[in-house]
Amino acid sequence: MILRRFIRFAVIAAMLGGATGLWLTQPQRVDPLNYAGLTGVPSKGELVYHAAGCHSCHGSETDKEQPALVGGQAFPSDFGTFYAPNISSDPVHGIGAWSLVDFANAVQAGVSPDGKHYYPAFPYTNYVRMTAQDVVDLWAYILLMPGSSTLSKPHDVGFPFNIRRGLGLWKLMYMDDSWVVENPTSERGRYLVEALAHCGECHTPRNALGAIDRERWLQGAPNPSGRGTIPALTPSELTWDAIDVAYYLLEGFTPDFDSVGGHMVPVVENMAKLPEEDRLAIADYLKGLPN
Amino acid sequence: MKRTLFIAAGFATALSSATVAQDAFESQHEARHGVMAIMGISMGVLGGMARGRMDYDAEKAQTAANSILGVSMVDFLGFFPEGSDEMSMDNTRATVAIWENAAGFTAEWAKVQMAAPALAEAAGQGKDAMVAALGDVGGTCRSCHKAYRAPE
Repeated sequence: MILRRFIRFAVIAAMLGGATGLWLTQPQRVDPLNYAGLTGVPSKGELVYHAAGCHSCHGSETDKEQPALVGGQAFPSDFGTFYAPNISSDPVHGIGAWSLVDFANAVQAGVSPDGKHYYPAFPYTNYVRMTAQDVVDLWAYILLMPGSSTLSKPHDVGFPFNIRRGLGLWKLMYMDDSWVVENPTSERGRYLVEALAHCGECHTPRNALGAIDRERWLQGAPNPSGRGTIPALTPSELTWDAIDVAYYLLEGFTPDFDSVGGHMVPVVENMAKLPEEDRLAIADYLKGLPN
Repeated sequence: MKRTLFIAAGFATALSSATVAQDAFESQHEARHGVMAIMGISMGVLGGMARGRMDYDAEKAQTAANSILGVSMVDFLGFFPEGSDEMSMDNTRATVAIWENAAGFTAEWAKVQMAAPALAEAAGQGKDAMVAALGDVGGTCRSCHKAYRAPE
């Protein structure tokens, strides 16, 4: 009798737990009203595109001149290897058939049109801070870019990380649209660093679940390739003058004229396409970071 | 016990081969660092003028450009014997890609050898001409370090 009551209790608890789990892990989407009535300007979207580094990850691995966002680059991590998908304007193999709200859900909520969570290797945890206008402009630009019929490669991620539903819990814990630095020396710089250029993805250490440690924001981190470290950008470590930071982002040379290398090269190539005041804004923001 | 010995022996072999590479390639290692140091100092003079940190001076610009031209003519590729990569030696950031893609690495140095004479030609001809030619040399630094130099 006691046993039977216990079993009934356990079954109800499991059902409730499962339901709560399902409810907690369901994809949270953007509010379509945020984007209603906005018109995309492709020329402005082009700057968003460079600042957000879309091509650096979604461009071709082998043919750097290929403008289409064909995907295929591999991103090894502690959880498996992620492959950037084809997000070109091709309506079948890319994202050309998506609606604006589909695109906004992907970029700002990390949710696919069919309601699945994207892995946070795609830096939507940064893009969540983008203005709706920038999202709309970016979408207008991406639709004008060439399409490609290259097939997207599935991610190579093992159990339990291959259960995407679990990412719902991860997002509950770590998807945070608030700014990391509350009183920045440059608001534009903060927007570029924290929302678009997603500098923190490499320059900030991560916790055991792969989330950015906001307490150690831009304090440097191990290189995910397994060798070397990615430098800190805090003022006590990055002692260059602001103008030298801006020049570095334009020309790729340190103050003592060593050149940029590795994965920072495409970043500099992107930053070089922004207006001068944007590079200075990034430099101002970095110089004002807490140490 | 046997296995411990085995592993210890393996480590010893790995260590000694690293030491061998360090000793065997010490002069090539120093030579390539020397080439890069001269490049860096010379780029610093021209870049300082380009950035407005110092006034453009035709004579100083020419001297710096000549230094770059000079080192572009040394046998830089010859300073990279196989086995002198960052896995085999300390204090180098030369990746194994240099040998895995030898043709690509050779092509990068060829770009330097193309850009350096153009810079030497332009350096004394006014700031604008110097800055334009400097950009091409700077591009070769970037593209080679992107593919063939490991992070710190």
